[in-house]
Amino acid sequence: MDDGHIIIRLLEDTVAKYPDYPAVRWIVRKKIQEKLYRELNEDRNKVAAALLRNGFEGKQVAMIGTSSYEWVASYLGIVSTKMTAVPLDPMLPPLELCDLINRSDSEALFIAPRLASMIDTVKENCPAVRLYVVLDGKPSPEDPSIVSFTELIAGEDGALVPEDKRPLSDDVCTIIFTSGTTGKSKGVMLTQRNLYDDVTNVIVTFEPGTTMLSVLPVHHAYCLVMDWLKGFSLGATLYINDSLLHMVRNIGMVKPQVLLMVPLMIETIGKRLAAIESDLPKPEIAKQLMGENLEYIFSGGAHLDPAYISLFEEYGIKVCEGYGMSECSPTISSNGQTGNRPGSVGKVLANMQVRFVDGEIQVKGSNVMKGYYKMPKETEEAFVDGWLRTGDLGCMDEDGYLYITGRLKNLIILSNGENVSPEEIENAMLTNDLVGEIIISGEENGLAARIYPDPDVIEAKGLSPEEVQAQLQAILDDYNKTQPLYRAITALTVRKYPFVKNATKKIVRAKMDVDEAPEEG
Amino acid sequence: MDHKQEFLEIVAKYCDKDASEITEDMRFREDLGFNSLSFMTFLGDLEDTLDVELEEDEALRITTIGEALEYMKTLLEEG
Repeated sequence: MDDGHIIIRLLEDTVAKYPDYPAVRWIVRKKIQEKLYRELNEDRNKVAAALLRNGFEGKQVAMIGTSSYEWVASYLGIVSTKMTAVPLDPMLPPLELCDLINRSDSEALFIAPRLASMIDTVKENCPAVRLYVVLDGKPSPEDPSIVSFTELIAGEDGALVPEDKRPLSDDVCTIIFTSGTTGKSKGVMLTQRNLYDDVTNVIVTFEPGTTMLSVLPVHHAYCLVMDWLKGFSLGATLYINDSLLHMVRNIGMVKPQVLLMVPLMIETIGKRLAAIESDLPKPEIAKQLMGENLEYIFSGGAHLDPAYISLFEEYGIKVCEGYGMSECSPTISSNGQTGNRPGSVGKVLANMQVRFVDGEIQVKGSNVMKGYYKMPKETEEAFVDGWLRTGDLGCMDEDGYLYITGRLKNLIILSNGENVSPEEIENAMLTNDLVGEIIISGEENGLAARIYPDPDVIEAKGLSPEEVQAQLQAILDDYNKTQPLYRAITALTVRKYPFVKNATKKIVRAKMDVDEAPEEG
Repeated sequence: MDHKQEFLEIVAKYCDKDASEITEDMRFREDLGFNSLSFMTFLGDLEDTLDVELEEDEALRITTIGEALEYMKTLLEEG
């Protein structure tokens, strides 16, 4: 018998109260389709029953695709039982995906129809996979190992998973691979309790039927847990954004009350809002672009310039910044509907404890992962006396709000033994309009800045390359005057192109000297 | 307004330039300052304004104004 800290309870509680509320809506050729909570519940039971019938109990099931109703119903089906879902990034090259399927010991693969052509490659490279489910599409008729989602669940009656097949709180239910800018990606093992406790300890309350639009990639813990699982626990209606091409249009069409975003999205919409010329009051302008219902945007995944929090406030929208990592399911702290403190990443969840060791944030609590899948050495290195090392530097104010001041793994140790957090300097520099992107690194003689100047500002001011160089140098000179000598920035490289970014749009520091036109994205 | 002019007007909305200043050799990201997300948002805007449906993977490979115009021409002819 489980002790209740299992994900599926979150859905079951909502289904019991609001069976006929819409759970998921999506847009097909500008028309809205939907599934109700009771339908979602039946479908996930059918997925669970079909997988159990095919002998997948205790096995890993990989999932490759963007958000879709079938993806979400399948995920819920997998975690309704003693199975582990392994959501993977559909943007990765096929052979890299095969490597992750093998490394996670997955024996089934759920895959988006757009990517179904990859199945041949998986068959060649992943001998353990014996079932392919296309979400949802016409499968190959002559291959019995490939079925569509509809075929998989056909014939199942949607009855609840038997009690003895339900998972226990400490069973691993999801493995999420961290993208990691260097080295081999690690499979973060999250248990039922990890995810359940994350959802229930993030203090956000909305009325059932609240409209959310999910715009982030579903294989990320932030989207999976905070959009989908949290949304379902509240009885929200989750709209799927069909493509980032249509994000702004869909926001206008769906008129969500709540959005979860990463800073790049908030900045893009913020700039768009600011560019609208109108005599209308600012909140009215926001309503024209994003509908009249938008109250909250939650920001995570990277540091958000607090200036955007103030900007959105002028437009009547509250932006709340949080902080976390996949290893924490993912939330460590969050600003909420009350007591939002811009510049901070909010208060630490009630089920988590925090300590600071040489400035590093270390955490403990029921959100923290079980370890990295089949990587005992990396798991051991991730913990100190049972505390998870976040690799982030931070501090807490007297009211319990957490602030991130830098990242330990990028810590620059200077020849005089002083430690410098490059992100602290980078954030300070980024307050200058001309500084579009910046990386600070430790060089032989001190600190060096590589700067990609903001092309909009160059254009607006009509600056020549010489003037850009001179103005950036003046910014550094001003900064240096306020700092101890060892923190002075002594070298400046002006970049022609933006820095190389990883899948989560973070700058890859290891490639800071690559200055080439980006291939894509 | 012809489609090229309409197209350039949309580009201009995103890059703080006048449509008359935009030339076919200009690159979206490097010369016009688009980031990955603003470029995608622009493509979505283009779909709505010109009432066409873009093939996302193909559209994301576009780097210059000239390539985009060529792509648009093909779509409009097909449509």
